[in-house]
Amino acid sequence: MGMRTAIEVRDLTVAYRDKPVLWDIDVTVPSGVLMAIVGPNGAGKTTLIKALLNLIRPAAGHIEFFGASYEDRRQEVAYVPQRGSVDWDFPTSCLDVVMMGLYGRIGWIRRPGRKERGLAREALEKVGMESFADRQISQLSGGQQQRVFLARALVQDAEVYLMDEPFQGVDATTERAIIELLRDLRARDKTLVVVHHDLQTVTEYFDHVMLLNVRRIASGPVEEVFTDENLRLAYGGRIAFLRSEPVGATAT
Amino acid sequence: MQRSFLCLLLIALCAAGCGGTQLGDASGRLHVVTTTSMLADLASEIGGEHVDVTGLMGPGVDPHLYKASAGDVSRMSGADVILYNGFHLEGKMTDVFGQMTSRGIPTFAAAEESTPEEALIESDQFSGNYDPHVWFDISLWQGVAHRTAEILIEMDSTHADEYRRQLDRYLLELEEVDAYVRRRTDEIPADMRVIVTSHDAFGYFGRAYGYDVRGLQGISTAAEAGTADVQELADFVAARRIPALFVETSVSPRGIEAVREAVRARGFQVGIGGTLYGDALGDPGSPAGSYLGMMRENIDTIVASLTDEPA
Amino acid sequence: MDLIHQLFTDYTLRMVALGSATLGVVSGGLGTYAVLRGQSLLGDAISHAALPGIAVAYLLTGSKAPLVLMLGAAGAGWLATLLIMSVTETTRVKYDSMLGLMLSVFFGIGLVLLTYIQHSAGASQAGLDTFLFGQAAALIQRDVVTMAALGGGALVLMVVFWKELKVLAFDPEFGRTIGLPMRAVDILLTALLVVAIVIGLQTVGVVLMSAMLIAPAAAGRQWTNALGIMVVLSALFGAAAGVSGALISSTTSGLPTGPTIVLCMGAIVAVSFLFAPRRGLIWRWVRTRRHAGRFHLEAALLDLYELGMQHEDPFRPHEVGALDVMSAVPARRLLERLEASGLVRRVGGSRWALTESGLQEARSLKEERA
Repeated sequence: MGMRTAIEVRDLTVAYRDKPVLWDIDVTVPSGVLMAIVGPNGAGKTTLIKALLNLIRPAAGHIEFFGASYEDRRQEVAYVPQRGSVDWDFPTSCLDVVMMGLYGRIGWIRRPGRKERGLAREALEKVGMESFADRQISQLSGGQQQRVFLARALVQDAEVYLMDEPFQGVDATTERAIIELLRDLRARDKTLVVVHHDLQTVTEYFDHVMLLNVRRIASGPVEEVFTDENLRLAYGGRIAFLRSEPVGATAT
Repeated sequence: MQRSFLCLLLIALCAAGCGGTQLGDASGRLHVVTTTSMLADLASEIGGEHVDVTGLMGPGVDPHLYKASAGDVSRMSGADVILYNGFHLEGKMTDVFGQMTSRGIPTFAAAEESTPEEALIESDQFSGNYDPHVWFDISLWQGVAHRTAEILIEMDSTHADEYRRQLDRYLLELEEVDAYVRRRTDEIPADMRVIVTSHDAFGYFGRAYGYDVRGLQGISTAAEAGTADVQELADFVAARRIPALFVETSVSPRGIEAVREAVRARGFQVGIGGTLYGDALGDPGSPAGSYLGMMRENIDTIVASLTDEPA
Repeated sequence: MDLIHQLFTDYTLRMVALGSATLGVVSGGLGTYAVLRGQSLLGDAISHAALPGIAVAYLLTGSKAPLVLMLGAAGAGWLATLLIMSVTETTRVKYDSMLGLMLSVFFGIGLVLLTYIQHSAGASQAGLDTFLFGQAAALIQRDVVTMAALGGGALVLMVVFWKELKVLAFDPEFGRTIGLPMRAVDILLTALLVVAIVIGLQTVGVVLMSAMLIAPAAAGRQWTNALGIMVVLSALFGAAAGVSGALISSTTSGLPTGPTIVLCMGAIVAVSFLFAPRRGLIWRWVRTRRHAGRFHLEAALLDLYELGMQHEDPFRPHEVGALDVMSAVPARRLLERLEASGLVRRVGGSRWALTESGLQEARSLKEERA
């Protein structure tokens, strides 16, 4: 874990038609962590990610990436959206999608060239999809689609990765591959913030967690924060207990 | 407060609903509503000071496509008698005429009722469909004048004598213009007596005064001119070496312009000779604002263009 | 063919065909993005909204020069788009409600203005209503040059901003996160669509223009999985419809060119939907039958195997009735085909049993499916 603060959020409030979706969120994400964001449906998890990326205008609050604004640090932040956010019937190949990650660096009129193609292939290799480079994206399975999105983020060689439910609807093999990748990134001191839907695997995969339900319930290292008490607060008593021994007894 | 407002509203509605259906307005004149400006002109000439004529279609209005507005309908509802051309000239107003008749307003298809079937030009595509542009044959228009006088006398017998006198006077004037047209036609070499215009409005004119008439669109402007129509017309013009094409006041000139370009591409320099008054008179107050003036203007334009040397 | 010869020699046909081809290329190419973004009806709304713009342009300038009227059409289309965008962003009104609303309201205003112009004095107002359905036969060189210049400019911009437009169509949120100005590109695309629509109004008219934006791309999608090829194909289909519409309508007098072009486009779409490889309906039907056939055959073989295993004798013969019960398709036909492949054999009148190779096949199928 690094000594720097990757993301600093103060008083973040986001409203949608006069209803608060996120309220008064404070959270500090240190660099080099693998952090999960969990909470029930409608808790504002996706909204938080989008607010961090300046895709949604907050009603109030202050966000910093490594001490500067998102606009200044844009090149260092990569986004992996939910798979369902695009129409996968779009006529394009996997390689093409991954190359889109580099469009921001190419400049206006230039076409992506050999260098960009090479970088994209490398990224596909890292996610085990190099043989699918020219495959039409509509022919991909859910897990393969997720990996393409990951490759698109990897090709940007960012410092911070914001991911929205990357394990949703993927097969076991893909899930293992992805978590390997994430751990690899963390080992290289990258910061990963992941909206996660499966409470069962939080302690296994992540070292930090944030419990969210419109308000910040708790955030910090998994052993300290992922307690039954906090889960009850976040999920409002609608959660069945997962384990017999107290949470946090086993650290990753 | 609310109740008195409601009463006021009811009273207003009643007043609006009780439109004037009594014969003659306050000044005692017969209220005539016509569709085309030609009919309005005719009704004014024969009716004189005893009629109040309202023409629905102004100069430059295409009667084939004209749809009656709510204002038109209320004007017609307030009329003592309605005159229209007939033969589907006012193609989109048939329902309205039916409405007026069922409301008890005397409605007459003046041209249709006065033109004998033998005199009609039948459409070669649709049998039973007749060319409605009868006003271009002055002898036929005299028949319409007779019918118009009949109608006015029927509606207003007190002034019958004056209507007859006006009719006789006007018939003479029509004779004069008829002679004028024939005289001027003689100035054009026989093989040059061809009128090419945007739509087939001048069929009766051609038959009466000896012109070959070709229109780009058919009898009605509602049909779109197709590529084949442009080509055929261009072939015709180039082959016959006709010096001038004519555009009409109430139809878009684009079609004829396209024919002109097509003819020029065939190597023959044809020009646009001038604007003819087709389905409407000119601006009121201008020479072409009356029927007689319009016929004179048209023949003058035709002669001027067709006797010019081609460029 | 005489018609093709005429295409090169006859001025009118050449102009109409060129103008229609230009329209087809530009609207097909640019319409690809509208279709991929699911914004097909936006083109419809913009075309209908152009009508009052034409009327206002005439009322303000008294001129019927194509360029003037086109500017008016573009202005009105643009205004409608702005209204749609801003209202959907700031109120609860949904996008397609706004589309329908703007389409009808603007078009209605246009009709009212046209009727007003028709009623008012002035002999030069005739001909504005040809913009409803176009008057392709009246295209002359000046018109075609204008269309080509504007359309060519729009296509050049499309090529220059190719990758930005691609991201806009595929994943605009992601585009924003990598620093691309998606909002500006969106406005650019809308402007390009407005240009495409405006140059087509003279040819096919307000009412039919949206077909020329949507249909070529819908057809093009069927034949390729690459965006670049899809754009080119859509442009080619649009041009083909334009030229064939022009040619066909020139053979018979009284056949309106604009609607004929749209009908040709419809035919191209129908052929693409039916016959395209992989995505075409006929292809899919054939493939489903073939696959289904294989599926049912394998199922029958496995059923015979299971039945045999229940008796611990894989070669035990069974009545066809026992297999019928477990099969969605009459078993006899399947068994006959299996027999032809040597996987089963008939034993007596209506009993069937696995052969050696049949047993091997069944075993390997079971392994595959494990």
